[in-house]
Amino acid sequence: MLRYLLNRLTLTIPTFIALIFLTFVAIRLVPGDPVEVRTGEHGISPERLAMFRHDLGLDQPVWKQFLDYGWGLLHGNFGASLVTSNPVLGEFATLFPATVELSACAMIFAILLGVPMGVVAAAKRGSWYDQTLMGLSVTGYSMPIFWWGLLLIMLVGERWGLTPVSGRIDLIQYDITPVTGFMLIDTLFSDTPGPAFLDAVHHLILPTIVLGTIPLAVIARMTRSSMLEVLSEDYVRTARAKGLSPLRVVGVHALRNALIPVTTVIGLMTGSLLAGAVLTETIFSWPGIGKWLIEAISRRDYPVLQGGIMLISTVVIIVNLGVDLTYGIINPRIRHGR
Amino acid sequence: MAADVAVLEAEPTAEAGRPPSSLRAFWSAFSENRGAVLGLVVVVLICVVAIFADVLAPHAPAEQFRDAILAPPFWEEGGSLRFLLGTDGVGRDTLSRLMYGARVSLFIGVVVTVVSLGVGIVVGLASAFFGTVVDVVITRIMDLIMAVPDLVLAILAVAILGPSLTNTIVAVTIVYLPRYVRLVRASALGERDRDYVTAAKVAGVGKLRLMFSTVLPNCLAPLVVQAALGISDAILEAAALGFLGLGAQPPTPEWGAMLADSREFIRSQPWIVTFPGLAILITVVAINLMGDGLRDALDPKMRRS
Amino acid sequence: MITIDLRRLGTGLGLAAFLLGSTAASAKTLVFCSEGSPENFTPAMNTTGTSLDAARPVFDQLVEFERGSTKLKPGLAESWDISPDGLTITFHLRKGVKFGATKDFKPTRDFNADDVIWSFDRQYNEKNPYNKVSGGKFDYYSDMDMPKLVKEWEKKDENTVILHLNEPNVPILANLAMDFGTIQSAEYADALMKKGKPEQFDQVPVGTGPFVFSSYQKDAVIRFKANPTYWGGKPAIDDLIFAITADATARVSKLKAGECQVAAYPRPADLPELQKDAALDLMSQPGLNIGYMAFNVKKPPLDKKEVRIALSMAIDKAAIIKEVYGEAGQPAKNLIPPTLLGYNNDIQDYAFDTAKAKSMLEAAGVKTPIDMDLWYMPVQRPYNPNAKRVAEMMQSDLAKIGVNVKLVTYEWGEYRKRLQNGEHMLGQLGWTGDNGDPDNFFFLLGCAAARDGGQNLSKWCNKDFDADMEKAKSVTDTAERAKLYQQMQVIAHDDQPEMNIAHSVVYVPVNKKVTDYKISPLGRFQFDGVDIK
Repeated sequence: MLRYLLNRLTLTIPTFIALIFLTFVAIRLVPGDPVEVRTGEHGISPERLAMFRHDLGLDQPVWKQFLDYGWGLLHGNFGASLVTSNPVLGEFATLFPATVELSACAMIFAILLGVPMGVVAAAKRGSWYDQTLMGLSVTGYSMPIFWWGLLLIMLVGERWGLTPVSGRIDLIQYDITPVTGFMLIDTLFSDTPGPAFLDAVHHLILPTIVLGTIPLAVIARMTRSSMLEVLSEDYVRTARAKGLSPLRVVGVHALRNALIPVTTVIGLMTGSLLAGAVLTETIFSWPGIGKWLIEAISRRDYPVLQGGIMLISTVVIIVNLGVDLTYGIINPRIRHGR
Repeated sequence: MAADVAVLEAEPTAEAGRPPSSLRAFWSAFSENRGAVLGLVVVVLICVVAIFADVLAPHAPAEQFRDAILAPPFWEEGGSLRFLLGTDGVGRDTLSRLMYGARVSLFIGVVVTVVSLGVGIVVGLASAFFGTVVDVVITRIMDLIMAVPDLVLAILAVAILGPSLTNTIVAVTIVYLPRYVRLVRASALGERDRDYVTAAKVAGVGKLRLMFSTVLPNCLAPLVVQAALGISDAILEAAALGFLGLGAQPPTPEWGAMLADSREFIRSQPWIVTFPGLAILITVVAINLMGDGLRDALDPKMRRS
Repeated sequence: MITIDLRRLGTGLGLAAFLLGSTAASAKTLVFCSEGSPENFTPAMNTTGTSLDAARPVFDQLVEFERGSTKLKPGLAESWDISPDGLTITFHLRKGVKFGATKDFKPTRDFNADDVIWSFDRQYNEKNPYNKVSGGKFDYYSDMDMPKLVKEWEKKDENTVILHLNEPNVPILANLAMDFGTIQSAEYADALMKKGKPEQFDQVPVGTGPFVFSSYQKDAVIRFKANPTYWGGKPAIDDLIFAITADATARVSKLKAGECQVAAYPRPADLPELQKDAALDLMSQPGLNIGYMAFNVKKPPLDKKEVRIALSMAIDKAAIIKEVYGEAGQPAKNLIPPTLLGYNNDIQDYAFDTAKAKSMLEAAGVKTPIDMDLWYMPVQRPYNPNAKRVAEMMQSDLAKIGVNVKLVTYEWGEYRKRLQNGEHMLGQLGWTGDNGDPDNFFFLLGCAAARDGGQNLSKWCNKDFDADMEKAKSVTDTAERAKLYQQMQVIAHDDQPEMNIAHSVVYVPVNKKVTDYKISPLGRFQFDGVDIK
């Protein structure tokens, strides 16, 4: 097992180096100049432009810039944003919890609803419930979530006034000092933990539903099909034949085995959820990584883009590695596969 | 996201080496699935609309009716039969734009899929057949692409290339390429050491021929399924780019861009925002239903369960 | 199914919050839905309204604009004397002004001449230890020609500062009232430098203004508290909160839900609805701006003024105003907005006339159909809410006279650069006034700016126009200045180097509970003097 782990870890090292290199090169291919982007209608004189480019090191040859950047990375220095002059790592640390919180809630929402829905659909295979659910599921994972989000904001948030339309907490009522960056946790340390926490939950409802829609659809489907497969296995048939109650068969014997592939899917999706948050964050003005990266692209904020893509990809790689490892534990055959 | 799972579900199972089933058997399996047939019908309909948009659309997609800006659909108060689904912010007929938009979206979906499938087959087979070095390099590159979040990668690509229809296609193709490469590689690796391949090798069949005419046909089933589902993913991704203002440029009636353009009317004239979204949703659902049917029909194991 | 759950959940949560009791806000709190995160809190380093607005509550300038106008009033300088030759301005500073204390900094002395000298020194003196801190970009200082105009800032005594100029300049007082004229604390700067954290200076602002900065979370919120020792009296509101909400629709929704009381930049499409809302007051004021489309006179056939006029006549300006700007725009016939000195109201705009435009084009020897390109900004600007839609409408209008235009756009920075290099034929852009002086607009058509890379996008250079403009800069007599400017507008109208599209009207929806909010023609959001019921 340890060898397998080490092997996997070594394999990610070249990926990292290539990632650093590719993001670096790709970002320099983006037309537009980080200094000019910020000047507004006033424009900027060529002398001053040259001066700033010099100050930012942008007049150096690209290979030199790359070496400097790599050297900085080795020292844990991701550089500073060209727009705000704040360290990239610091900005990432401020914004990342918001993305994680949203993604985690979306995932929990999807699992809590999706698994039971899938199990029941499998148990009642072919029933109207099963068919409706599968229909909804196809609709769910075909959903253009930017549109879905707009629609929900309009209906649930505005017309029915059931949820707030954006933001993470009621700013008038609660002044929450970010300690962990996770609003749900930070509110618990505030003066009014109860209402503040509920308010944070209230703000999370809509974005969670929007971001959780696709995972929900996928998990429900996966659970159903994996359940069906397990239910047709010999040992389940045997259990049935032995006269165990259907509930026991489905709930205990089948579910446990059926959840193995579902777990993998959940793991796989966690990585892409972090990324899928880009659109959701844009729609809900959610102060997370996705919005930060999109803004960095339009502002040509090289260090943020570089650092941001690096960091988020690192997270994705780690999550995927974790998933692989878990899968390796659950299903030892995999280890000898390749 | 959905398609990652599709890959997983579609991963070739033990009996990938079965003899190709006849078209009739395939159709009878496919038509068992009502959803799939429904999907197929809708897809065909959308294709017809897209192909014959010139004839079917009541107006030209870029024509601006200054006398009827923001006209509501016909069933709303103030709507008329002249503009069945109303008009947008500069007076263009929504229905006509949706019809021409079908052309754009399907075009994007199909081109992305064909290109990434084609490149994916070549690269994937190369990875499986040209030794460890090639394999490692290709696998690493694909891992790399997959490590960067989909949309961020696509946005970055568009930022480099500049926003346009062609560049949207290029960006989305780059994003989806790894799926096909991995799928082809995995299936090809599964086939490589089978007896019939070894037999062909011994018989002196050349490497290229071995790759493309011996092994490839036996890997096709999961590829076809992935490709069918890939079209819908490509449409969604392109629409997302259009929504962020990075897709096709005006006055091209791309659905995502139409949505973004009309976003400001969501409070005052919500229907303008509703229709393009519905168009995307219906198309993608139909393609996915059809894709699911394909998978069930091509993968006997799934069918049995 | 989902909706029912939601409804229950929604009311459940509301009820729970009610039962648990919420912190009764006895303090007066005003929430402003702003559009974005500031780059930092030092106004001199910023150019975007978003960043400047975020720092303004904390700061003062020597001379200030009256709230809601471009009229000047004393700020940190109680009064000033201008020498007869116009070369020195002596500022008499207000005494007993305190800097607001923050968590980590307690000022030990009052505001004095050192702070004034330091604030400007940082912007031009490369030896100032803070000159390079936080990127050290002081765009406005150089944009307003300060390095050329200013000879020296002299500290005469603790409360007197003398500004020595190289040449007499009328607009300079107005310049100093702009945000880059903000006075910051020299003591705070030194203290942070000693701590080795100079970059904090631009992140946690300390100023003499009506509010004291309390906290900032990127992309979420900025909080200010009233400054109890403010020299102009403690502001009526106790807490000022900027709720950062990037999406315009979301800002309107929050406003309607009472989650904020003032919202920035509503979309034109939402104005009618806001107008109807009984709880809201939709305030408006003509903005100090111009949206225009420049004809690049270097590219034939646009070198002929008949062609430029024909194209202008072919475009239905009224339709553009109605559909794109809605309530929020008035058609422009001159480069400067009507409220400025020297506005020439006698100019008759070219009337929309497709047939005549077509015949003029033919008369000018242009063979149709002809291909041109038309550029539009990729972003929403204060003077143009939707350049893409304007372009689409122009495209359709121009097609009717046989001019087929291709729409072109680039990333925002790239876009301006290419326009300034004259790569376009027809290019949209605009301008927002900085200080209410006409010169701040007219230079856009001057010969100096017509060079490659210059801001004159028409690349049009008219000797008479330019001579008048140079002269107007040094004339102190207002009537005479006005006359020169009126003359220039006639020249520009006759030659039509650009088509003036619109002056946008600034709309600010304000909750009726808010009293005495004033809209700034400069597009500022300002909250001193505002109260809430």
